[in-house]
Amino acid sequence: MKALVCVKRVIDYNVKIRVKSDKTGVETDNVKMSMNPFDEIAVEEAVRLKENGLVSEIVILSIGQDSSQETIRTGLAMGADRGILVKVDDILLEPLGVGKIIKEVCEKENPEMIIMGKQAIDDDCNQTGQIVATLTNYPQATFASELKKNEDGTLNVTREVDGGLETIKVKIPCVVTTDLRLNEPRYASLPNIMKAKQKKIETIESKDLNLDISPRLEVLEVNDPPERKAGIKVPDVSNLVEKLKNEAKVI
Amino acid sequence: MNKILKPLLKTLNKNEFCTEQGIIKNYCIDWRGKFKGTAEILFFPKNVKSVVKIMKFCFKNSISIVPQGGNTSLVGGSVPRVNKGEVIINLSKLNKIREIDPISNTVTLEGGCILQDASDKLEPFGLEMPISIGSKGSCQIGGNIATNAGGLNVIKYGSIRSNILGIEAVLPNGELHNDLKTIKKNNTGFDLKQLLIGSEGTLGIITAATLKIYKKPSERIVLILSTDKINETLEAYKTITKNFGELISAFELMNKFSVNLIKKLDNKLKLPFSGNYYCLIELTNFLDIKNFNNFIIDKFGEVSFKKMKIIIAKSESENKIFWRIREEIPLAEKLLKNVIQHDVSLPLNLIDKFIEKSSSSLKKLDPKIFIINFGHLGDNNLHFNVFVDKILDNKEYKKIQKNINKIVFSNVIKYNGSISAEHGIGQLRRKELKKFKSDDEIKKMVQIKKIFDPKGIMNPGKII
Ligand SMILES: Cc1cc2nc3c(=O)[nH]c(=O)nc-3n(C[C@H](O)[C@H](O)[C@H](O)COP(=O)(O)OP(=O)(O)OC[C@H]3O[C@@H](n4cnc5c(N)ncnc54)[C@H](O)[C@@H]3O)c2cc1C
Repeated sequence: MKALVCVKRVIDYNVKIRVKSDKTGVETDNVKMSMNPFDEIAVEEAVRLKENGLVSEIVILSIGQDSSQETIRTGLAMGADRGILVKVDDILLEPLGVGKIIKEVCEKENPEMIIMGKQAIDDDCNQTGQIVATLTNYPQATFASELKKNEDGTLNVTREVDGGLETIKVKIPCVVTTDLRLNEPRYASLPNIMKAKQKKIETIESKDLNLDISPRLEVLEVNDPPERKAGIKVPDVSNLVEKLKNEAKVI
Repeated sequence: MNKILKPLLKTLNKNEFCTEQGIIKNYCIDWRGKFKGTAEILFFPKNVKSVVKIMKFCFKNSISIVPQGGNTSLVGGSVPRVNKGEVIINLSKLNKIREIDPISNTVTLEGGCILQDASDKLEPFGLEMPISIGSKGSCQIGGNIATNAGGLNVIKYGSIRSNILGIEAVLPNGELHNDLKTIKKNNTGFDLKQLLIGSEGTLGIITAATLKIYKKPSERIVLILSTDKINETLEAYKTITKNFGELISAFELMNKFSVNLIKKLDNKLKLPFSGNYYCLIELTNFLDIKNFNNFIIDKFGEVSFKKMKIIIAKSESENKIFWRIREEIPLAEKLLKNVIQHDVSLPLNLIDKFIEKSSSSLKKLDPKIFIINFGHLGDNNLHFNVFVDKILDNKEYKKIQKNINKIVFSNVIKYNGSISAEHGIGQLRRKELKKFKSDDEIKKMVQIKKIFDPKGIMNPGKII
């Protein structure tokens, strides 16, 4: 089974997001970028399947600018075999555009499993996996928290749904999107990082794919969430009780 | 005593003092729970005027004062002794940030400001404090200055001493010493603030200070290096400092035993390695290098790092996990009984000999001894803490403590180190100080102390 893992370069989960002063978006200059954490889980799952002899080759796909090579290298250091970078100009790509590009790559690569995070932590769209499944007409197993390969080649995927877990069986080729509890990604060791430097990354210009990936939405304004009022410290218990009674009026 | 204090209390705000012994007693125990004292009263001055008032009064009436910050001292410096009629001045309410100057990159803040709060206030300006230590959520700037605190960033910004431009302090007679300046050069005779730095509350109360602050770098990468032998660690230290020089912002050592301790505290924490010694190395992008990650990795490709076992964090989340491993060691150690701590400093090229010699002598002393060894390797600073895995009564504890200290400190002296690198002397190391310093040095310290504190009321029983 060949696996295509789609990864996105995003502002690091632990970075404090700053909105640009003209409110057109968020500040990305001089900001630490990393692989979308859900995608990291997707890479880890593919690598584990490969280690168990269930996946033969892992291809990492990222759509973005040159800098996304760094993100692909991270995946290669974790154990993937090669990478593909689809270069886009500096336009805000929407999930539909991403889905179209992934579909093109699938046609060339013919993966049997397309695996990616359930959502990217920057735009929180949670659409790409589903769109890819629609465009390719493959079955989809979203929000995976466990993945098993059956003897007949199908996959059993446990999904985190409201109120519990649901296990479904999907035929391959299929699209899997990963949830937080699927696994815990491994650390990258220096020898593996060095090996990753030797692995191939193919670059494709999105222009050459002749797809309409122009945005369908217009961003009107980006704003900070309302600031939370700072808490106060009370000097003693009686003061606390007094405040709860008279100010908060909860007791 | 309360009778004597009455006229003073009348002039203070009601929430500037506490006379309830039930509460006071919590302020009389040190962080490690090894020093328990008593105090007559606990003051919480809200402004400098109140500090002056209290100090003047105590001076007149010869009442001994213990200044207290976040009470994270590891040498019993911030708590009173037993039944000596001492009073505590706790600075936690004197906690305003007076000025942030993003042009000259300085901050002026009051002694009771908690370090973490100060860092948080600077963050929106893209600035950071020159110091970061494990106790940052509790310790205060005044306490940091009074102990000349080091911590995790010394390799980057130097200890707090090299970052202080001015100090405001109330001296034992109640006199206000004001030397708050934001200028970086000031050669005008003896620099008295240098004496207050590291004075552990024995010369006066630091009510405010002006510190250098720095542009907060946009990113960092944390690595964990593991080795089997300490001399391999030192070799790696040499190679890494040679190649990464000014990008290194921390170089911390942890032995296997200390890392294994935190599993008890935090069993979800995934420990990344095998080996007997681990180093946490933080590389910071001070130079705004584009694609910092690639830059670092290329550098590792250039030199012969082949034999080194290193993992490199993939994201800030992993950076944080790696730091948590280092920062949780003192907290995990606190859960153990019978740990005898040493905060020592040694010349880098002798650290391996010190560790080997001391460890083997200690094992001979008692096979139930284990070494919790961690610290700031980049600053030649080892926390060499000895855990006796046995049930000991008070007498047995005292005896083994004496023998352990003898081994450790005689090796420190033999290898030309220091018996206290960053935690200070307090009550814990008073006796050893006398052995470590020459008579002449001690004499001069006593003379200086007399000039500031002729009545000997400032934190008596600490340092000298
Ligand atoms: C988990 C942990 C990790 C630590 N890591 C480090 C480390 O990496 N590096 C390091 O250097 N230390 C470290 N320490 C030791 C300690 O936190 C520092 O020495 C800290 O600077 C003390 O600050 P504090 O406000 O808690 O002072 P306190 O403990 O309250 O007081 C320390 C001394 O300073 C005096 N003092 C306090 N405030 C004032 C004031 N305003 N004016 C005059 N004197 C005052 C006290 O009388 C006492 O002698 C650590 C402690 C803990 C618990």
